[in-house]
Amino acid sequence: MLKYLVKSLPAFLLLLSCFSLKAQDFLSGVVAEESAGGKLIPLYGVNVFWKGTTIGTSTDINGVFKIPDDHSNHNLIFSYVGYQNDTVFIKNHEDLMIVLKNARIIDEVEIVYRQKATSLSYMDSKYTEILTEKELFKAACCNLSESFETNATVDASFSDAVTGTRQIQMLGLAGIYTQITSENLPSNRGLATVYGLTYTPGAWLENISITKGSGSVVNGYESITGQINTELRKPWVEDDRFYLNLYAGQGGRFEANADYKIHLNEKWSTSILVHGKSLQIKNDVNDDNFLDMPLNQTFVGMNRWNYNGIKGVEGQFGLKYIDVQNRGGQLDHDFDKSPESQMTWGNEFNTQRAEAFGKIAYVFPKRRYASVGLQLLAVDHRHDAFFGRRQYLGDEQNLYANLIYQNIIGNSNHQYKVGLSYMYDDFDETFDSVLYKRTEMVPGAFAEYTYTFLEKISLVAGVRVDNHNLFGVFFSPRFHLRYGISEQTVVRLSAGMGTRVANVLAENSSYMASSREFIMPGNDKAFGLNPERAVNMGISLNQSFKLDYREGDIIVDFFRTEFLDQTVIDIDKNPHEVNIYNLGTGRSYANSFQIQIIYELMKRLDMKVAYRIYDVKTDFSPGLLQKPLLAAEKGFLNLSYETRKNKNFGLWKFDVTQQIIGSQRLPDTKSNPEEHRVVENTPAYGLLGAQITRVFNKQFEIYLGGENLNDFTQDNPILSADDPYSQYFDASLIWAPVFGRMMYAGLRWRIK
Amino acid sequence: MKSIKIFSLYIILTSSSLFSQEKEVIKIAFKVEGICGMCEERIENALSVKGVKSADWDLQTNVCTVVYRTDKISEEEIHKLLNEVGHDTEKSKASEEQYSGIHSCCRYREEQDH
Repeated sequence: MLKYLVKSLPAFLLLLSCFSLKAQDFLSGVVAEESAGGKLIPLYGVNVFWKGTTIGTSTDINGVFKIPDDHSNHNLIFSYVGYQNDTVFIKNHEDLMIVLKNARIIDEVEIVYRQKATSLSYMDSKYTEILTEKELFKAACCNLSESFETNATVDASFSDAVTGTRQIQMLGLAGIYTQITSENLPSNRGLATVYGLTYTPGAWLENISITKGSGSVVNGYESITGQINTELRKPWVEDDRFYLNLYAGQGGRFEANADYKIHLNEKWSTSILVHGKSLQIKNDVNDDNFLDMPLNQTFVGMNRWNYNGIKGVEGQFGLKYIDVQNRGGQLDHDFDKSPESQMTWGNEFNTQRAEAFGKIAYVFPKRRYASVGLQLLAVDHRHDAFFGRRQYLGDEQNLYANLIYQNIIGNSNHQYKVGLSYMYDDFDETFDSVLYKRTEMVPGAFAEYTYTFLEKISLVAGVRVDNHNLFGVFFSPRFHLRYGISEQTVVRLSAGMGTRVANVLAENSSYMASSREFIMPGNDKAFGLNPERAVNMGISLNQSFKLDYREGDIIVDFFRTEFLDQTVIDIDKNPHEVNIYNLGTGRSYANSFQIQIIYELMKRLDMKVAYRIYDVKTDFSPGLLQKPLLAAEKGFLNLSYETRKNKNFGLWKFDVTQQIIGSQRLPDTKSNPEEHRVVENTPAYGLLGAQITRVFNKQFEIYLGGENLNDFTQDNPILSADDPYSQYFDASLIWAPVFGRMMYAGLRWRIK
Repeated sequence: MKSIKIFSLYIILTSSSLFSQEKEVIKIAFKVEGICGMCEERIENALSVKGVKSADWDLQTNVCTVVYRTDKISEEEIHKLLNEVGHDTEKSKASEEQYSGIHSCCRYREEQDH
């Protein structure tokens, strides 16, 4: 977050430039940043504009700007690459002196605002892809799990044939190994790891940043394959006061999202965000007597506050509430009666989750680079589910506090962050009448050092130590290096260690949608299992180029994750069991190689093409095998075309995404009778998605699109669907869509 | 903004003219009146046409740098395109009618009158 000083400083202005201060209808000022030595250096090219308008200018070489004065408007916004936009309250409409400070304590991950739909952060020492609103609009995504349709790095696929849950995957490993944060606060962890993606509505997102490889030590010990951080719409952002998004999909899915911002005074702003989803129509296209999509009612609401005070204090506070009811299973299942009293198979879950968060930062007035920040989060999660006659209840209470101090050593080439964290997590789960209880208390400490040398080198070395009350000390060293060989070529290296405690029931609830028996080592500590520990190493090369005046990038990366210990989920040993055990002396690794080319093929026609190979093997009971239900190969092509804008900035947008999903290994079902077996390897298949958007002006647009336009579905997605209480019933072996072509339409409306 | 003495730059970027007279790529820079980010969007969008390889308008200096193919579009046509969306260039002015079409916050002419 950038900080500023507002002073009346006409004398300084006159020294810096020779423009006249004659017109009272202009507001003038100087924008500068403070060097490590305390000198003020004028900033060139800072965009300055009035809030809620497009009246703006930018600073000249001397940092001077002059903007037509808007006396009805008191909020002047400064935006500069590498800094977040910030608003200065203009009281007296006199000349200004603005000092930008690079104190990003609240927002740990760098956000770079750019026009491109997907940008690869050039300066970040970590491999980070940023999906902007433009990219997110390409697929009218409804929640976070559906936001990666036009992205090659993150895969999202259905986990089973009844709950409608999509799970993500990165570097060939399940989403549980990716740390998911919302504005750098932990989200989707604990019992919410799987279903939690639906708690973040897509229309609330401002952007998503995807970091491949080890994350920063500042955010905890759990990141193994990467970090996905979401930035939600902010209460102070100047673009629009009211935002409405409506969506209707084939099969009777309706969604509504709204965001309303209130600017209270120069210090306080607030916003209310709501999301509602409803699906009340029973669909059974494949005639297996099971719902293809569960009936669903979801409400997510949030109220957030922002405080931007004087004397370097700023804060954000908020409350979020989630209520989900989801019903799947056989068409004629009666959800008003108990599952035991019926012969039909039903699945229902109800989730209530409340979150309260706060972030407070203080920037020391005399030491511009020093700041201290505190992040707080409290969560109460209640989940109540049944799968046929199996009942699963999961409650979690979670408290998180993270205190970060940052400063420089000598000059701003050497920066460091040190801090303390505390995590309290109380789990209370019941599955098949067995109670699983545990309380985790984890105090931790971390230190991270960043060295930057011009634009060439940036190096981040961090370490954290956490003392887990059940498992002892976790040690997590992490290292990132970015080397800019030239302006067009960047090489990044990363290595790091991560640890996590698996919540095996919540994370594998998709197997509850089967007759598979859960076989776990015990009930002490965390299901009798050790924490999962892994080392991740990666290298990536980003080559930018310009061909025929249009820019492009080629990105090649290789990542390897090697497990020191893992919670193995073995569905190969026996088709009627899920065996869960420690990896122990066995081997488990994941290699991922990806090449991606991004280029503006023709004027206003952007192309993104990617190819990826995974080699993910684990010592299961039968031996070292490729992870089941994982496509080793994937090809991806996205084309997006925009017409020229008309007078009202209206235009048409066309987007097409073609994915080729390679063959997947299915678990061994040879011991089943022939009619209840699955193929050993699935065929490769394609998925085509397309969307047309008509933008009428800056306020209003409508869209029409379709997913899975080629109408590919998996034959027989549920084993023994006609007898769901037999030992052969299995709805968890899902490798392709269950519902075929899915058309949708919607609108977006903004009011300034 | 004060009316500053107008200047212009003409740089021949490529030497492809040596081989083919028709397919010459040229880079020109000239002044286009405008005051804000919305103007920038409008100006650059107006030049998003066949024959123009790249167009970049600088809000600070008001200089528009255009790379174009001489066989596909002429310099006059480039200026015309800008006039059509309501922007004056150093070579030709937009008509009153064309100027009246731009958004109220982009009225650069009124601003010059101050």
